[in-house]
Amino acid sequence: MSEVIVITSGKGGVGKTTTSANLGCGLAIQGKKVALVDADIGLRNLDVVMGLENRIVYDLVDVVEGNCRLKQALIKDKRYEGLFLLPAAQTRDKDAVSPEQMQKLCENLKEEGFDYILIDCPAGIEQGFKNAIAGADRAVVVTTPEVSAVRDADRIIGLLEANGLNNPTLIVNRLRIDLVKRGEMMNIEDVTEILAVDILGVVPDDETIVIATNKGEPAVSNEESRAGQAYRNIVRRIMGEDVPLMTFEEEPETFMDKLKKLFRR
Amino acid sequence: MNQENYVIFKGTKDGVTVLFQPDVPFEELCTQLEQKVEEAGKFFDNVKTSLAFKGRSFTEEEEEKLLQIIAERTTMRITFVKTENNELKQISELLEKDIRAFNLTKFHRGSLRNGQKIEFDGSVVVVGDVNPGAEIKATGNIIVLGQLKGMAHAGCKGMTDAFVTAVYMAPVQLRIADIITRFPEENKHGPKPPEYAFVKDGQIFVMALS
Repeated sequence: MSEVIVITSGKGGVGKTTTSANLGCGLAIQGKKVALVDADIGLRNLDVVMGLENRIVYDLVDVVEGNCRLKQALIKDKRYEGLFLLPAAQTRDKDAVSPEQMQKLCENLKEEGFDYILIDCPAGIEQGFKNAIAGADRAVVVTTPEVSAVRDADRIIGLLEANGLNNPTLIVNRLRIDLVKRGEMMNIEDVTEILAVDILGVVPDDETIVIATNKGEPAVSNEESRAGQAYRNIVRRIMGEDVPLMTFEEEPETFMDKLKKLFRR
Repeated sequence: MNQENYVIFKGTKDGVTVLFQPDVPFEELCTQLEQKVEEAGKFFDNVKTSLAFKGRSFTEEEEEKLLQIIAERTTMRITFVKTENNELKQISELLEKDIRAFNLTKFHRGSLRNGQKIEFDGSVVVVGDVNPGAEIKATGNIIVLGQLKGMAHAGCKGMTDAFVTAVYMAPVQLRIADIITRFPEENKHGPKPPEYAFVKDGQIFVMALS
C-alpha cells in the first residue's frame, strides 16, 4: 500500500521543507521506501536541506515533459537505503506543470513501489499549491504557534477540504515552551481550538534543527535533539502507531534563574 | 455673493437630493448647477449614490440635461434617479422586496474557515464556528451556533431591523445595514454568555442573551 502525503502550510517559512526532509529520513530509517517530491518549482531547496544538491541531473519538469524516465530523475539518498528525492526544476516556474500531470506522476511513483511519497508543497494558494495537492491521498498541515501562521493554516484546511482532502492532520512547529509557560505564545489548545483538526505532532523550537539544516543532515537522526525526537514520534504516528504527545518538562534551572526567583519573593 | 441660491445639494440617508427653486428660468438653474458641481469638484468622485431632484418637476428632456451636466463634470456613479413624480412607487417596491427576502433562511452545517464566504438574500444560520477571515453577508439576520470570529454583515441591503447573534461573539468587525463597528478587544477574551447585536439610534448595541 503506498500513500501520497502532501506537506503544506499556506504561510511560508513555517518549516514545510524541514518537516518533509525529516519525515522522509525518519520513514527511511524505519525501513520504508520513501520518495520525497519537491513541488516548489523555481524556488527549490529540499535538495539543499537533504544535502543532495550536487547530484541533480534531471528534475520533476523533465519527467513531466518526458525528457527523461522517472527512475533517472530520482536521486538516491547518500545515507539511507530506500530514500529518494525528486527535485524541482529551478529555472522554470509553477506553470510548467499542471495538476493532471502531477496526478499522473504520483500514480507512476506508486507503481515504482514506494511505501510513502511525501510532497513538499510551496507556500501560497496558487498554481503551485494546486499542483502539489492534486495527487495526494492525505495532507499534513504545518503551522507555527503564531496568529498569522494559524490564520493561513485555517485557509489552507478550508481549501484542502474543498478539494476532497478531508481530515488533514496538523504539525505545530517551533513551539517555544518557555514563552508558552509565560503565556506569551499560543499553546496547543489555542491552536486546535481554532483549526479543529487532529494533531499529528508538536515540534519544539530547537537550534539543532538550524544546524542540521545548514549541514544538509536532517535532525531526525540526531538522538540528542528534542526536535529530532518529536519528528521520530511523528514518523511512528504516520506509520499507524499510537504514540502519546511529548511532554515538555522544564529545562533545568540555572543559577541565575534561582537567583531571580529569590528576589521575586 | 449677492447671487441667490437656486440649486441646493443635500445629502440624505439614501442618497443625494438636489433642491431646485421653482420659479426660476431653467437656463439659470443649469448654469448654477454647473457652478455648484464644479465647486464640489472631487467631493463626488467615484461616489455611488442615488440622486433625487426636488422642488419642481421637470420634463424628461430637462432632466436629461441636468444629469448630463453632472455626468460631464464628475465621476459620480448614479445608481438611480428619483423625481417628484415617481418617487413613491420606487420606495414601496423596495420595501416589499426586503420583507420577502427576510423570510428565507440558509442553514450552513460546519465551520466557515478563513477565506470562505456566505452571501445570501435572506437570513443565515451557521451551525459551527466562523473563523477569522471568513465572511457572512445576509440581507436578513445572522445566527451563529458557535464562535463568531470573522466578519458578519446582517441587513446588508439596508435593513436596520436585522440582528446578529452568536454563542460566542468575538467578530473582527460587525456590520448591520450601513453601520460598521469594530468589536471591542476587551470583549473578545474569556468565557461569556451568548450575545445579541442590534441597531438602536443609528448605533450597534451588543447585549447578553440570558
